[in-house]
Parts: sequence; structure tokens; C-alpha cells
Amino acid sequence: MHKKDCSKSMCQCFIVPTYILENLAQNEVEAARVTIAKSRQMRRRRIFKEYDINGVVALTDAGSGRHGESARHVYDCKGKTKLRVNEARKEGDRSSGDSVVNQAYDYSGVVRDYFKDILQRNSIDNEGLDIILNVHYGNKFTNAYWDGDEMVFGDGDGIIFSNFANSLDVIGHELTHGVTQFTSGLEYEGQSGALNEHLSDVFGVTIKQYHLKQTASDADWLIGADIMGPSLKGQALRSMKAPGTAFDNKLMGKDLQPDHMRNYYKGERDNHGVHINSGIPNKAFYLVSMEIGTDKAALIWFEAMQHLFATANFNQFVQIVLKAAHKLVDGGKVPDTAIQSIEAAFNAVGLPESLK
Amino acid sequence: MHIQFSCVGGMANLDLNVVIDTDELPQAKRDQLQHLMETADLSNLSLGKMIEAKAKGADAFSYKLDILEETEQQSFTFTDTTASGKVRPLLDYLRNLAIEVKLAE
Repeated sequence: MHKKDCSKSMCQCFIVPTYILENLAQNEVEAARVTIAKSRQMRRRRIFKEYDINGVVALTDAGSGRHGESARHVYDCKGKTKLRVNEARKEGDRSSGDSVVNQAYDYSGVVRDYFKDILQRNSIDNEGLDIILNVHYGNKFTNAYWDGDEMVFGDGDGIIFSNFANSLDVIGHELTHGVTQFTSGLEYEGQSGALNEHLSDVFGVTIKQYHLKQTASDADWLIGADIMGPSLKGQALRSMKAPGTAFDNKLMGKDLQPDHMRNYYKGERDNHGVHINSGIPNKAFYLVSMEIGTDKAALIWFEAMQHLFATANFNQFVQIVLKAAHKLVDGGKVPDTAIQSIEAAFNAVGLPESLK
Repeated sequence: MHIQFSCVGGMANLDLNVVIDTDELPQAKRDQLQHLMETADLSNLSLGKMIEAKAKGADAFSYKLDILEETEQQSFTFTDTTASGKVRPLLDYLRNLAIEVKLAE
């Protein structure tokens, strides 16, 4: 095939057009789904390697200790911004003198074990990838993030936010971003980005309920309630039960999350609303969980997660969740009422949206 | 020198902004900011690092930094995952200043 030189530095050239791959992926052509995810990852790695070969080399060694056994490594950034410098606790080590290090170690173990024991997934990549957590990052850093390779947690400002590592659902949320990266690779933009955020909230809250032995009706359905500072007790980052009601304070403003497609956020902020519009599928997951139990709903969502593709939108997600539910109903793993519950829950939030 | 800084997104989806006229800062703060800017070495940042902004990860903050000095203006964008180690202390400082300003409003 004759190929012209590309003048644009970010040009993406493929033999099979992306829309065809998407159609194939929607029809469960596994190879197409994998191609979409892997080709995007490959492009990104190539860009990455161009300017940071040291970073690539560092990724091959997470420090001393066991490897490929989903071993935990907790690093203390000591208020600086360099990652993976001072290893404070690794798999099998005794408790550290630092409670934040211990919380990160313990909670990441809960998350890892949930994925392995309940969902039969061996760590982030299903190949036993080591789990790396950096705590005490930066000076009053008011965030936690997944950087594509490892997790990072700030101490918070002590007023609005306390330490971001002191929360099981926050650690579950961040680690699930890693799982998403290695399954669908959902693009972090618009509806696919909101689904990426949604899945992290789903498993963050599900693992917390599992750990606390709560039912859907016992649980608070809040994400990040444990990291709110002393003056904001009772608030949280998000409410899956009642999106749009989690917070109202001077720093964060008022919670903007919609709970229905009619209030869908169409602005540019937040990568076109990835943390905002996730409220819509979040509400649907809550409604399904109230009907069939969070554990069963999570099984369906996890099955769906493995059949998503990088550019999936909300309507496509509904179809994939329903297909996953049919499969699990047929296998006797979830009750047959699940199908009706899912359809009703998505309808309650305005999905699937009719295309004009 | 005028500095316009914004920090948006992150797991808490924050929206922080601050505008600074360095001439109006107390001497100690001005010196600290000057030192952080020298360390950041912004004038030598490569374009390649900045266009990588959305390539990896999730929940990272997105930062925008506009610097106006006399008639020359420079603009920079970063995320937590793309900012170099030299720039991160400056972003830390400006983000905390933006929080301080917002809470004082």
C-alpha cells in the first residue's frame, strides 16, 4: 500500500478504519477489541519512549522484593514529587511506623484480593503485575491519580482534604484505572472517559461494601467520604446514590454531577466532563445493585468491562452490559431478573439515548 | 511579571485559578517564587513533553501557566503525569496559593 508522508506529528494511520474496528468490537470480535486497545497503547508508548528512556528503564524494576506476584510496594515521597524513591514497605514486610504507608499497603491488598478472589483477575494486568503506591506526594497535594504505571497519593491540605491514601474506595478507584487501562483502555475524554471514571467508582464502592460486609441498602454509596477534611465531615467527592449532592463548599463549589441524560454536561471542562457525567451510569449501577445486590451487579459490570473498547459511549455501554448480563444469567451466576433490572435502571437515567 | 495559573480536574475535579503580580508580593514570597521559576527552567522546556498531555493515566490535574513579562507572553500546559521533576515544585506552590486565595474569598 502506498503511504504518503504524514505532516502532522500526532497522525494516526491504520489499514482498517477505526469505525470498522469499533463495529467489529461491538459484535464481540475479540481481536478487533484488542487491536483498538493495543494500538493506542503502542502509539502512546512510542511517544513516551522518545523523550523519557530513563522512565521506561525504571518501569522494568520496581525495586527489591518479589515480582510478577502482584506484590505491593509502597514508597514514601516525603513531601517531594519524585516517584518510587524511598521504599517504605514491600510485600511481606512488617508494619511501618507510618500509618499512611500501612493504610496504603492494607487497602491495596484488599483491592488486589477482591479482584483475584471474587473476579478471578490476577492484579492490574491479569499477569500478577506488582502494585506500586507512592504516598506523601508533594506539598499538601490535594489529589490521587493513576499515572499509567503506578498510583500517587497526596496528603491533602488538611482543611478541605485529609490524606488521599486513607480511603479504601479511593485506592480501589485508582487501582481500577489500571485494570481499565489493561482491558478496554477507555479513552480519558467525553463519554468513554466518563465510563472510565464510572468503572473506577463502581469497583471502589463495591470493594468497600464487600470489605465492610455491607449490603446495597446499608451502604452510603459515597466516594471519598474518608478523605474529606475535618470541617467537611459528611461530604464526599461523589454520591452514586444521589449524584449532584456529594458536596457544597468553598473550595470545590457545588457538586455538578447529573443523574439523568437530560442534565448531561456538554462543556469542555474536566476532559469534557469525565468526573461529571459519570454520575449518570453511577446512578444506574446503584439502582441495579438495589435490585439484585451490589455483588451480582459488580459481576455483570466486570464481565462488561472486559468487552468494552477504547471509544465506547454510553449507548454502547448499555448494550455491552446487557450482553454481559445475559451471559451470566445463562451461566446461573446472576438471577434472571437482572436483565429487567438493568433495563429499568438505564431507562431511569435516560439511557439508551435515542439518536436523532 | 504577571502570572496566570489554573489547576483543574483531579479526582476531586477542582477548578483553581490565581493571578499574581509579582511586584505586589512580599519580598520573601517573591524570592521563593523566583527561585522556583528558575528551577523550573521553563524557557528550556521541549514541546515534545507538553503535547503528551492526555496520553497516560487518570485523575491527574491539568495545569495552565501564562507568564507575561513586559511585552513577552509565554504559555505552558502540564498534567501531573507530564510535568517534569523540575516544574513540579512550582506547580505545588502555585496550586497551594490558588487554594489559599479561593478559601479567603
